[in-house]
Amino acid sequence: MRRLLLTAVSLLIALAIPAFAQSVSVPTPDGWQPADEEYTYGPDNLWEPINGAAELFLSYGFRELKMRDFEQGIQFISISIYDMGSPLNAYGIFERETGSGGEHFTSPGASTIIQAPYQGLMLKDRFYVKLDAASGELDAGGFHTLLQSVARSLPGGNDLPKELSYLPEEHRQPGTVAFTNRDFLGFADLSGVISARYQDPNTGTEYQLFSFRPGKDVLGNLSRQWTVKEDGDTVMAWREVPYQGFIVIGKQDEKILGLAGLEYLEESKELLQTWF
Amino acid sequence: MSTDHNGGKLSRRHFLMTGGGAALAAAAGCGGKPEVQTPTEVEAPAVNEIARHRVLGRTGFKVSDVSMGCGSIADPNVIRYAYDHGMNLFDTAEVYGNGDSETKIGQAMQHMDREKIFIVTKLGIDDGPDEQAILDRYQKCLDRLQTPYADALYIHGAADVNLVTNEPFHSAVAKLKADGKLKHAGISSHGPRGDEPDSMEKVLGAAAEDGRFDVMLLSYGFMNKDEGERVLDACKAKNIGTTIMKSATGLVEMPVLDLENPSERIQGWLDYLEGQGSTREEAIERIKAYIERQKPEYEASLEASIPFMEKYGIKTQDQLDYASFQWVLRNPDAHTICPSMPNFDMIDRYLPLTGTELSAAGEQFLSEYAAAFGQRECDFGCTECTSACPEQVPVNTILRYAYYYQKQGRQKHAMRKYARLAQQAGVCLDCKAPCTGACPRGVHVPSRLFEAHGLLTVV
Repeated sequence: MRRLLLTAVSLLIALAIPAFAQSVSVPTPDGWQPADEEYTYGPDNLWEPINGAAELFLSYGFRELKMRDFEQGIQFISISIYDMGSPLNAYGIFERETGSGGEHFTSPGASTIIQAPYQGLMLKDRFYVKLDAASGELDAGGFHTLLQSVARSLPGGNDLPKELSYLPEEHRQPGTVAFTNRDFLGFADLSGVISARYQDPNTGTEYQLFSFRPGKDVLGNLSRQWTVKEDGDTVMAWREVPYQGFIVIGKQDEKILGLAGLEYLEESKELLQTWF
Repeated sequence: MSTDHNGGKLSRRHFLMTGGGAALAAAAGCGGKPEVQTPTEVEAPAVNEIARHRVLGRTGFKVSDVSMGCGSIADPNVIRYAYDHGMNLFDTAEVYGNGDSETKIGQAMQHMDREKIFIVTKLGIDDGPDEQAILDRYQKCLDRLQTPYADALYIHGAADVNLVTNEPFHSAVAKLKADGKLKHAGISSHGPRGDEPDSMEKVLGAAAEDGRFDVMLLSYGFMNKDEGERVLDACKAKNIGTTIMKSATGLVEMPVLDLENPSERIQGWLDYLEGQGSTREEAIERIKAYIERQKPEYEASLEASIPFMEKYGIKTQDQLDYASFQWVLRNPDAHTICPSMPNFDMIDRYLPLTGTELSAAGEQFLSEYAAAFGQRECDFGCTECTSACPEQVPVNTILRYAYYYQKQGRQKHAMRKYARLAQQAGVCLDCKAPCTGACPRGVHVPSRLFEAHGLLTVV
């Protein structure tokens, strides 16, 4: 079985990396010297540099990590470039890993968060870049300059993923758009979810609205715990969410939307219908 | 009141592993091919709560035998759900989601009795942070966790025995304890990694002797039982608490390569290729062509496994996983298992393990599984095979350099290291290979050395 697993994993990894990937390298920033050679990691050995943190990256479709250490006098930094396979995957992991806050910049890349003096994080196209400073000597400007040099070396554009436009902007709370590739709201059958928080301007009611990355047969993959019914020209599916009311998913023609965070089922269905 | 994620009390569950164990018991009784019991034929009492606790070494904490690994948590309510069903140890780390895991635990803890839970977090110190950096990073952990103290702070993923005596870590721990921000020091190890790897046994054995660690996280399962049990013995001798990871190994179900209804992984590749400019049809054709080229090896491996699975009536991954965890839990020196539980389903899946025992038939099955499909990878910290070599070829070192070459892309580094070895594998070409069969993990040493020499030799 282990041989079977290794064969399958090798097959799938080999499929992803040498046949199709345009691998990148970590650039040497101006004024810095490499302290070691460049390391490359794939899905089968990502645990080596980051231990159990690999689980989250793998859940977001991780492809390849390139990392390298640099030094400048007594300063020491590590640059890690994660190829996440798609801009949406990179956005998802970037949002998860920048939840602790920091100073936000709209460039370089599509978004940058700097938590001086120890860390800078950048999103560019399908890449997620982490810059770690062990000794805490860098200020925000220093991080910014280093990330700019990395951004220049990476292919792709500086736009946020197009999938984020799937959700309406009206009533949406700023900075709340997220991509959850697995286990949305703790449900194993909800994956590939783009979500955001909304607030009704009249009632102040807060809730989550969400959609799915294209190509997913959402309703067909729901477990038996969901109730599925046709309601006019809309197919509706719903279930209770532990500790927070109901989650409802509706499909009308080819459009799929979901709503969560309200206490009552009928209220949830009615509000969701207003979004179709 | 405890509720399941169906909104009501947990219903009677069909206990999958009992099906597997019962199949083995049937085989032991009649001596022939076991009657396969499907999962739906076996039932166990409803499980709403953790049923067994063990004392976590000298911490004195009565830990649930099944605890929660929080490496990848999408929603804090999953953690709360685990707590409401009696799990009381939550394992996280600074690096998990870059603080996202700790943040979600902090959100869930608003609904928990802080005195009744044990929070573990971890900091990696491979890059040599000073005491102040450790203190600063740990304070951020506490801020995210929304708690004035953590129950244990571990050195995360130690693969160098020198980290055990890292003075900045220990001086930071002493200050934190004095300030009431920390109760216990701990350490975790996965085993060898990096340039100069030390085995899990070496690192955690040294930590046990050091005396300053009250609790450890180690990899232990039926596939690595010898090393794991030596570590557990060392911990028992010093009354150190033990938490267990990586207990479930092996795979039963192969990924489905169905391009018409793509799995998440296949969909990911399709997205990637389309992002590179291919049409969906072009992307599908490229993937199909690649699979066709790999098919002979894939099918040979599958064919080799069928007799074993048929003998034991193994049909589902759950049957193998359950047996793996029960095997660990049967050892009272393994105080708690800590599987990753990212969703409600995983909690419902693992909760019934609490308080259970592995049958004798189940133990036999796992022993045969390990013998048949034991890990075919070199443990670079192990030197069992070198004593069989008449030429003192450093087998584990050479295979580690081959690993650098093949898995880490460090070809030049690997070849330079190999060139400096006093004894290389070139001498193996004319040898009768007494090392064959010397590897406890089943690695075929002669062929691996031939491959390594070919990779690493400058022509």
